[in-house]
Amino acid sequence: MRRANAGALLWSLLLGLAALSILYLFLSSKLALFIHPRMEKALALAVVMLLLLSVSTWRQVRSSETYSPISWGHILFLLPLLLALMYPPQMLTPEILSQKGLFGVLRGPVANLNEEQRPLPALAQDQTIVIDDENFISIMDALWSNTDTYVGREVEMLGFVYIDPVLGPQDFVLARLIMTCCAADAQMAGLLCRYPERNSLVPGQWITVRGTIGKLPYYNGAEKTVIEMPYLEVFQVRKVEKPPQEYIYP
Amino acid sequence: MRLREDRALHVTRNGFWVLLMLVLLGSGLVWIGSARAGFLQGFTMMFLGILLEALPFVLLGALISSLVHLHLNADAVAHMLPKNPQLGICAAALLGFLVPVCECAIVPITRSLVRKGVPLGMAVAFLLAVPIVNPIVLASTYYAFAGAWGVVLLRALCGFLVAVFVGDYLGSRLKDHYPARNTRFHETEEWEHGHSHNRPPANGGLTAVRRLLEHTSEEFFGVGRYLIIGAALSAALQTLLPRQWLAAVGQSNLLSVVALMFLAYGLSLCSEADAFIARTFVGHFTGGSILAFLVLGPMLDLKGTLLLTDAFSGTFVRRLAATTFAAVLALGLLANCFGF
Repeated sequence: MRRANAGALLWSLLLGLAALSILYLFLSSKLALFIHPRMEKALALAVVMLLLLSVSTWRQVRSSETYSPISWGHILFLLPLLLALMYPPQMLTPEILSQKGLFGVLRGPVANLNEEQRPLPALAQDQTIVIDDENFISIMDALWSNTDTYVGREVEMLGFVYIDPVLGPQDFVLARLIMTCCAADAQMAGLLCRYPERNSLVPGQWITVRGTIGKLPYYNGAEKTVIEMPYLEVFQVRKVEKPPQEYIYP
Repeated sequence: MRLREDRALHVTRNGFWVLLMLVLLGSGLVWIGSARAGFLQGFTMMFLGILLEALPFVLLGALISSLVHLHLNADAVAHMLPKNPQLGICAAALLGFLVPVCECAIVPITRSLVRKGVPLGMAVAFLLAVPIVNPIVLASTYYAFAGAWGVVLLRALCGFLVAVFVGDYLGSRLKDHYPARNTRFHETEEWEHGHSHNRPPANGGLTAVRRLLEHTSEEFFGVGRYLIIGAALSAALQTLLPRQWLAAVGQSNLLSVVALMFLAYGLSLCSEADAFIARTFVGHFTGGSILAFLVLGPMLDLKGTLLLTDAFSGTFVRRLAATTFAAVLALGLLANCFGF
């Protein structure tokens, strides 16, 4: 019985296609939209492995000792490939992520159990604090735990505009997305901004903002307490292109 | 011949359920997609993210389990096992320090160990403990909780205790039950007479490497499809579940534990990432519920359950899930009572 092994043929093609798609993500540097860059080495090994498996399965296509029919399993493997073709990779939108509630966004990746503060760079009293990808999390952390120290300081920060329905007419959140492992664990975090001309801002637009740190009372519904919250009194907004690295990778 | 028929039946039945789930999932996605703009885009990014993140580990798991299958002799395994069953279970739960693999890789490895005659109790302890009690996961927990050693130690200790308890309980309860399922194509007969003649035939058909690759490829085909369904369900849940509903029960001693266990099960996060998510619950949820989240997630989640149903019998998976759930729930409540 020498019939062509249809299952093996399809499986070999699927393995090869998967390897090539990941290779494409590597070459077009879109991989960082899906997973944390530290996973790249492991994924490169996975591509090699997929290619090896594809070749080894290919050799079974004409062997008579194993025959595997085409099954629903094969069709299932087409699903990710199809979806990847239909929806080209891009950054997640706040609409998908905003289900944590505004407080979660503002408090963001910050937890209230840090005993030790990491030293913050460039904090000489008269200097502008420039918030970048590297220090974003530690500065957000510091702003929340030692708000009083920072009141009146000047800050410059890059982010995208997020407008939550519960915010006042002058308020928006200057937000970033943080990815710890893959896109599925992405979290939005940001700084509340007060800006009289907020209506000129488009949600999702990337901007660089300069402003002064102040503090506001905030009623935390979950704990039924009023807390002091840092915010930015914005005096300058500049529209910019989206940065090459859209996520922040802690 | 009989074996083959049974197998055909099993595949058809399984295939039916999976197809039904797929149709439901697909129609659900289209329905929601038409209602909320950008939903399918977000879903795709998360779905592919989970797949890409899990892929290297699933391939590693398939490779290791193929190595175990082809090159580990059942008699040798029997020699290595400690004679005392309780001691064996404890040792198995600590093996994560030697094989630090996460929950995607552990299921096929456990199955091939069971087939090599490792007692069920030890296999269960291994399956449950390794994704928690291993240096990589504990290090990420340490980092996520800003150096709070208490959380790290508590997570490791509770993971160890639950694994040993469930392993011991199931090991004695399911003494005469053989849980490993035969699934892969032509190997079926081979399994049945057991042990050691898995070496390449002397008439020089396949080299060891080719055989290993072929086996890995089949193993990956078996595991991969469940991974895809699991990733799709998790991504759907992630995009749809409003977190405010959960926050409403955050301070209740019982409901908070149940809610976060449900979340840990449904989200199927990688055990290296879940501590970073758990940290965001601090202050909004009770301590016991966060502990339950950290312990249950790596042991049992949606993606893992699908992998398990492929590898093991239904009876075994149901018992395993029920016992683990009960143990973690009890632990979470206990921690809340003592005010962790």
